[in-house]
Amino acid sequence: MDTSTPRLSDKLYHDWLLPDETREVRAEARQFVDDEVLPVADALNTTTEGLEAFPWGLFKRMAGLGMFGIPFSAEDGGRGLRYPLCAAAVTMEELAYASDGLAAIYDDHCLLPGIALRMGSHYIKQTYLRQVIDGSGVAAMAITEPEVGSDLRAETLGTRGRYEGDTYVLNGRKRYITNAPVGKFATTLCALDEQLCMLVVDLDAPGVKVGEIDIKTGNRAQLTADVSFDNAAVPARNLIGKPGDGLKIALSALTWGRIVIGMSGVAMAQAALDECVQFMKQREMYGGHLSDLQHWQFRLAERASQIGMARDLCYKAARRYDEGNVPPEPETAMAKYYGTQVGGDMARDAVQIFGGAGFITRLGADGSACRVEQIYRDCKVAEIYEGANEVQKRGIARQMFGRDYVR
Amino acid sequence: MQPVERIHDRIFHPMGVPPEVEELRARVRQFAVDEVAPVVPAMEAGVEELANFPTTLFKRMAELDFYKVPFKADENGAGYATPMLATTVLMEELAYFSNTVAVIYDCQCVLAGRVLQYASRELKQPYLDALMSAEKVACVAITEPDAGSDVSPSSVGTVAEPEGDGWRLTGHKRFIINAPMADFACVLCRMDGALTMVVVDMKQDGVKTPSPDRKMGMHGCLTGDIVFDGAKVPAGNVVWQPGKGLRIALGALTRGRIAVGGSGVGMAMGALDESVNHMKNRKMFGKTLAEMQYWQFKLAERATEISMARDLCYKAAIRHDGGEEFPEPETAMAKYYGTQVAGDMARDALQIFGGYGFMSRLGADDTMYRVEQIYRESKGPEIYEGTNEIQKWMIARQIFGR
Repeated sequence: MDTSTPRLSDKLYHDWLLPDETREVRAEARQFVDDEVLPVADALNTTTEGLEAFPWGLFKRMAGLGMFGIPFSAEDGGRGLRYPLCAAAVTMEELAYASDGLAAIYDDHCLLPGIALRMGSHYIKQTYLRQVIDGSGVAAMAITEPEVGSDLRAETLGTRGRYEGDTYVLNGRKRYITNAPVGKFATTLCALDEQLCMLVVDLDAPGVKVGEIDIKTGNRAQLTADVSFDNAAVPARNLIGKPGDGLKIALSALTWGRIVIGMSGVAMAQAALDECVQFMKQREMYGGHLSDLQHWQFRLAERASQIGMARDLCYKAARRYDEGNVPPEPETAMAKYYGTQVGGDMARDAVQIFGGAGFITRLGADGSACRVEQIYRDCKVAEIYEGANEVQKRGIARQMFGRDYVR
Repeated sequence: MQPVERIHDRIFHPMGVPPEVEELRARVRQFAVDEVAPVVPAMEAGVEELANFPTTLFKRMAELDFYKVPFKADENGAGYATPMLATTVLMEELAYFSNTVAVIYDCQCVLAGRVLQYASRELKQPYLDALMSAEKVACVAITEPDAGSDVSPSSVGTVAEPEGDGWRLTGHKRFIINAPMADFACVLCRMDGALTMVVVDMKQDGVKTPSPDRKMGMHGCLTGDIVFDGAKVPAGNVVWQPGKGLRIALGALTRGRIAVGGSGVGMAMGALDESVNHMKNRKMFGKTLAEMQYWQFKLAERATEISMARDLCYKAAIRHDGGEEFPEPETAMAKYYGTQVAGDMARDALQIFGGYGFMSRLGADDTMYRVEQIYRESKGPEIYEGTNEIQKWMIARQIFGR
């Protein structure tokens, strides 16, 4: 990938919401991305999913740099930041600028399961959260099932268990579980004795099987697969919180997830915008440059405005969370849907601006890759995962009209 | 006009708005609810004649010290730490019920006031005092019949020529808000070929204001031509110095654009609130319109856009108050996006109200529908203070370079 594309946000965007602490975290993350991710980003973003494609080197480096400790308090072994969600958000922003697949690995390791684990007992934190933070084990969060996505209820969930002796005996199947193929354990939403619960399940335990790796539209560095449970025995001490806390824990983790996924949409949009401006200034046509054409000038002026507003919205949600407004609604739902929508809108324009070159994964003539082609593929899933954008709109509408009208 | 729930009071959380500005918002809202809203239907049903100008409201805003909001304490102003933010909030609250009143305010003290701030103390203070007390009505005259957004020396046809130890002004301005009853005008003209801003006494023989224009909306706000035919301009009435006209105009328009973005947000919130209220009451197919998911989602999107536009206006204002004379690209973004969301929301609101939304006045019971008024009022702000295309052009320049 061309690492010299100027970052327009440095010039066009003026941050007014983030604390200095967060700016330092961003600088660290950007250094890492510039030095270690961008040089390998084309391979990361285009290599077909497979165990050998998992970026172990970058994963270990992120652990070594303390990036997995960002969400956590010092007593839990984390960085002890005053504004941890702001820091997680800008970290995701920097990662997704180069590779949304890598950002998803980060999110699904230390944010989603991490936030669930920190609500657990001392034992769970010592055993599992420690591995998340030091990177000695890859974590996963298992919520979605073949027949259940956003509609999470004890009646609808197919992963079910009962309490027997000192263990829960679990049966069922989870789907699209990020990090499962390389994961050591998964925080798993299930119905135990008809109550929604969050269990930590070791992925190498008897009765637990991780399926074949999915092949996806994009986000190729992110490995997903089914996880199935066939009378899997899970120790009772692996229950996070109390029976019945499962949905609350999932939603707590998803609050983090939604804000940072909104952020990932902003980052992809920004990367696509930066690539477009660079390309338009160089591309000659009709005796001038593509950048002389007013249609695209105005379109990108609109996109730059939307990207700036989406970024403000994500930062606002993160900052409100860190200041104790939990969950920060409706900003979280707004940031998730709008940030990812602008990612998709900008990516589509970007491919159009690049023309034929935007449709090329790898050019036969010289083997070069096209960043906007990668973004066009990667951005779509952000409109779907962590609660589809329609679920976010329903959440906003509920806050406007009330539950009597929005069911 | 029955008050409806203010949805954004529940779902919007302002960042960086100090308590003194929230206190101002509460006072402006009280005024808007108690004194503006009740007179809006009759005013907007009227046509643009001198008698339709809301003189009482105009004077009341002086009694309430609203015209002092943009100014510093040493200018006899209110001395807010964040005057532009305070002004933006005030515009939002006025425009929620009446963009007529908001734009009268804008021209009286935001635009004219900012022009005067570039002037010498001797020129500035008497005029500022007169506009803050509403003793005088102010206007700013930039646009001409053949020159709108293209404010360059070759396109400005209003010319000042030396006469005695002052100047003699000839030319023709158009669409000038407040002109029909203005006591003075800040006029952009050519002086020795250079764009220059001068303050002109409107009550003199060399100045004519023909009949007010008839407009799509904002019927209480009067616009019209100004014809200068040898109007006298004393030497001391040049603002700053000759040749600074464009810089002064852009300085005033920077504040104006942020304020107009705020007015768009105010109108959009008004239309959203009316829509939510109507949807909860209107029954169809055995349920309420509020239970229809299409409109639930559409209004969730609009509420998101309104919240972002509002933050963007505040951000531009806060950056300006922090010392940026031209806080860009936020000003251009706030102006275009804040007014666009008003137009988009107003159009949706009319659709939600169906036939009622299309009624200026229902024959059966004389009811007037605020969304119909907002639909008409919201179009002006997409055009004035620099069209939204000009704003996008400015943003594009910052993206691509000149």
